[in-house]
Amino acid sequence: MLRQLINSTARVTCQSQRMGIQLLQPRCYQSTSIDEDKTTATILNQETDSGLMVDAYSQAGFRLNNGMKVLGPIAIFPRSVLSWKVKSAEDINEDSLSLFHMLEPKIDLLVIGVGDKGNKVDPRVVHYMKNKGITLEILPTETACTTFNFLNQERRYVAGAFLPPISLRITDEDLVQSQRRRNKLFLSQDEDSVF
Amino acid sequence: MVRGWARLERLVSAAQNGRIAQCQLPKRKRKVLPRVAGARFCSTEQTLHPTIRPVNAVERTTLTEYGQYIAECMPKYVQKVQITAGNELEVLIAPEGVIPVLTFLKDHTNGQYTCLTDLCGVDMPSRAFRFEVVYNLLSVRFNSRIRVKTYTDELTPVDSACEVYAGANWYEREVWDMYGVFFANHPDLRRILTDYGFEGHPFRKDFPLSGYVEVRYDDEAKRVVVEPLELAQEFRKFDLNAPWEQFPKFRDHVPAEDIPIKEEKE
Repeated sequence: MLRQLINSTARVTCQSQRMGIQLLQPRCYQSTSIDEDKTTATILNQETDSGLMVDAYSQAGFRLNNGMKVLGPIAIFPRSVLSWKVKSAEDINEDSLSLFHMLEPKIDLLVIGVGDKGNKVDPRVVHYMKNKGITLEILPTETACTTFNFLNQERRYVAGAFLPPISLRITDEDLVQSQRRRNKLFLSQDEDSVF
Repeated sequence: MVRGWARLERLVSAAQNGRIAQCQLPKRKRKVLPRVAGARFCSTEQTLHPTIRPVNAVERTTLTEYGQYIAECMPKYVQKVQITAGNELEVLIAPEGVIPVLTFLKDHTNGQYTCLTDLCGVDMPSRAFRFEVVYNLLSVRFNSRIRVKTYTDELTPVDSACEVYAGANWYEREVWDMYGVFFANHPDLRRILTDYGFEGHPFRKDFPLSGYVEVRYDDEAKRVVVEPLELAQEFRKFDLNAPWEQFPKFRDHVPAEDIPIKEEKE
């Protein structure tokens, strides 16, 4: 387990808890079907027509709910995604955010994922964007992805600007999912060390 | 309610038959005060007036002595100890002492306040340190509650209680969102109740009741827009104080009585 971690640190992916769960309550009208009494739960990211959502993130990039994988920082919109040319949270300045205030129709809210928890964004940039009329929501990338997913599902005019985080919390579930994705789930790792 | 009545009747009948036992008050000289778990139910007075809350002197003395004990154990942080009229113990501490005092109350054998029932803020704009952060704790072992209060202003962070009580997480997020009190070392401090793009801290006294912005659906733009507030009627402030005194018997009433703490003698 540990050896696999060391070999593939760059490629370790995190299953996003950003996959929110949407509960659908049954409508309150008379119905003869028995099954309509049940509350159903669906995964937010897998709903059709809900717009682009971030399924998972890693130190390398992001995976979206339409199957696309993007490496590096991204600028994500309700139906499209771009790669974003920013090195780190300190590099976020008026130029790097210039795209977001030039969009038509104007977005309500810009969610900025700054990577790790402690990274700061220049307060002057925050003021600059507020003067342009765009409210910012500055969060660590993990929670920023979740917030963007929820807002997108609500059909709000929101855009996201995410930096991949450096430090990740990896669970066993994440490791199993990434192995399954690479079709290596049932291969034994012990034999590798012999060769 | 029925239980309360039944208990009262039992007490009355027991008093009439001379069966009430005297409760042992803990001796003052002992270092470690034993907690009397059943202090609440002991009463040596006959209270026949059902609408007047009976004064529980035993509980009050137990709490007073426990408050003094806490002040003696943690003299660095405990600044004041109070007890309210309803026998609620309040410990006022310095903001640096949040983690030590909460750990002491949670883990000490005489405290065992393992349950954080509430964490809230209070805004008193007339003070220098305008925000109070209040922790309400419950000890299931001793059936006892205690309140711990700290103070801070808009910019000074307070240590997060999450490492002591895991349940403090969302409460501290709420205090941050509503008042703007920053909690250092909080695992995930972000907004919890306000809308995503909301600016301001609504529970502050200088934040107006109806806010600064309103939302409406704009038919031309086919979206919800946020605009500055426009009230159809201007704000009316009602003075609801009656010209007559409400409680003439309580003119000298103090909400919380100070418990004397022994000063450190060098």
